Amino acid sequence: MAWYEELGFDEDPFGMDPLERNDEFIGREKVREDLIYRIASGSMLLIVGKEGIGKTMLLKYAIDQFKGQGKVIYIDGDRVGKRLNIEKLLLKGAGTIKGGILGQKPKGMILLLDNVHNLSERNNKRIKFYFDQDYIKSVVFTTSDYGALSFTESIKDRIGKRVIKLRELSEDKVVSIIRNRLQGNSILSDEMIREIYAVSNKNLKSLVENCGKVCEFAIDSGDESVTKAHITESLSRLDGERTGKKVEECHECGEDLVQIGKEWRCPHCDTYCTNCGAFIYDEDRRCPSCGIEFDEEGEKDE
Amino acid sequence: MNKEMWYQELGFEENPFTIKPVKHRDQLVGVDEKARDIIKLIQAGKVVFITGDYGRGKTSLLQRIIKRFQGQRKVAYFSGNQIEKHLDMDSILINAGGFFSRLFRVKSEDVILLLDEVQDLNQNDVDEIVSAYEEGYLKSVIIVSAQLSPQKADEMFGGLIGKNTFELEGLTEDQALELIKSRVGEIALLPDEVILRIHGIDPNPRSILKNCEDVCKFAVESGDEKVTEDHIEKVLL
Repeated sequence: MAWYEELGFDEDPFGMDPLERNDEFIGREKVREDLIYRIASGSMLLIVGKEGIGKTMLLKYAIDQFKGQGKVIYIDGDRVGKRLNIEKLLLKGAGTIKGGILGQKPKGMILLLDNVHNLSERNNKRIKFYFDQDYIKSVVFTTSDYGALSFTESIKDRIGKRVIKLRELSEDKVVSIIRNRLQGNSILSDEMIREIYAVSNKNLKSLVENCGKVCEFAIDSGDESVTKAHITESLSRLDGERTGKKVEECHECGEDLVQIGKEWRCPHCDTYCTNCGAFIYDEDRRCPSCGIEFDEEGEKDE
Repeated sequence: MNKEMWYQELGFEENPFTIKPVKHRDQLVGVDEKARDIIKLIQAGKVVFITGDYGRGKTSLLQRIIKRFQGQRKVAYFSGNQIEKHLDMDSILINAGGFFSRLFRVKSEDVILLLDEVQDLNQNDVDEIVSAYEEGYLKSVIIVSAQLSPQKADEMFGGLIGKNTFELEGLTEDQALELIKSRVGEIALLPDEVILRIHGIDPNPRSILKNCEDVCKFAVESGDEKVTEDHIEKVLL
């Protein structure tokens, strides 16, 4: 019997990603409203906030709100890397035929660029052009590292002061989110929730996961409520697991491999698609596996 | 999406203060006279340089020029690696390298080339443009950059620019009033003194538009009928 069944739950109360629960936007109503307004009124907006603070959650909310009205294009900069050619993605998104003469120009697209560090100069210019021409109605950028942004002055000026800074959720709000999930069950006291929040680096997503792990540990130990000892033991055990997990090394150069999708690749020796991890040839213009288009001179941009 | 936007409450379908150059290219406040002069120079087949800080209206001015010539002559607009041919409203994407040579191969008649944001144009590209101009493939070339100085631009283009440099400035008070009225007309929400106050914060047209948008939104959402100094302080300062 699973730990949560012992507590009378049919499903793991911590099983669902906060991304999928609208009610956990507690405290973000104003930000949400701002975001929707900026998209609807046609502007460039930057969302800044620490990892795990809910930037992607906001973008998902925007997708939900705007789907069906023009094209919403979501790109995760962390996944597509520098060789991204925004233009091609936009044209593809708009359903036009690649190459040659475009039968129909895309209009009023909404571009959501998550984790937008290292945007190439070329992509900066493309975005400016498409925005100025109103092919793109609005652009929302997100970043966890304000210092790593590589916007051109033109893009910076178009964003201007339209920057939303996401702050950490207050402890009270976090407690109410977890309480809500536990539906009156008292396995976790408010104090313990605060404790786990601190250990989770004030990251809502890890807090939810860690609450699940700690509760499971407490129940498995035959206890009815979580104590500080449970937190220390279960989460240090997790730490051990994490450090114990061996990062693969490249057979040729010994450098740490990076994981892309299900594949492990060496950034040094392998030529691979930064979107799906499939092996490609240098001269490939598009990934034979996932079909994403590469920027012809992407790597030479910087 | 059920909530009404502030501008819809005022009866506008879309955000009247949009900063998209393409949307209001018929109403170009503050650069009308310059636009006329530039159009004359284009007709005379000159090389022209346009500079000015970000948000002063360089791209808007180019849009105006495109509108003026589209359908009559070949206008090629180049920004980044994007080229648009405005002859017949089709756009051509040049995919492979050798951008300029491809452009010149495609076209044999005289083309007006608009180069937006060329601060990083390298001398090879410039030389290619210069020789295409001298050989008569290009009727006229318009170069736009916020960062390049007029002297440097003229040097790069082998003295072809000469005196044909235009520097865009911030708007005057009258122009600021004209700009805002061209967007929203006379509205009680935004009295002249408020527009002038906003102009005083930053006279660049793009900033004026954005600032007007933000104070109007704030005032309407606060249930007020007029933008006040208090709103300006809360939103803009």
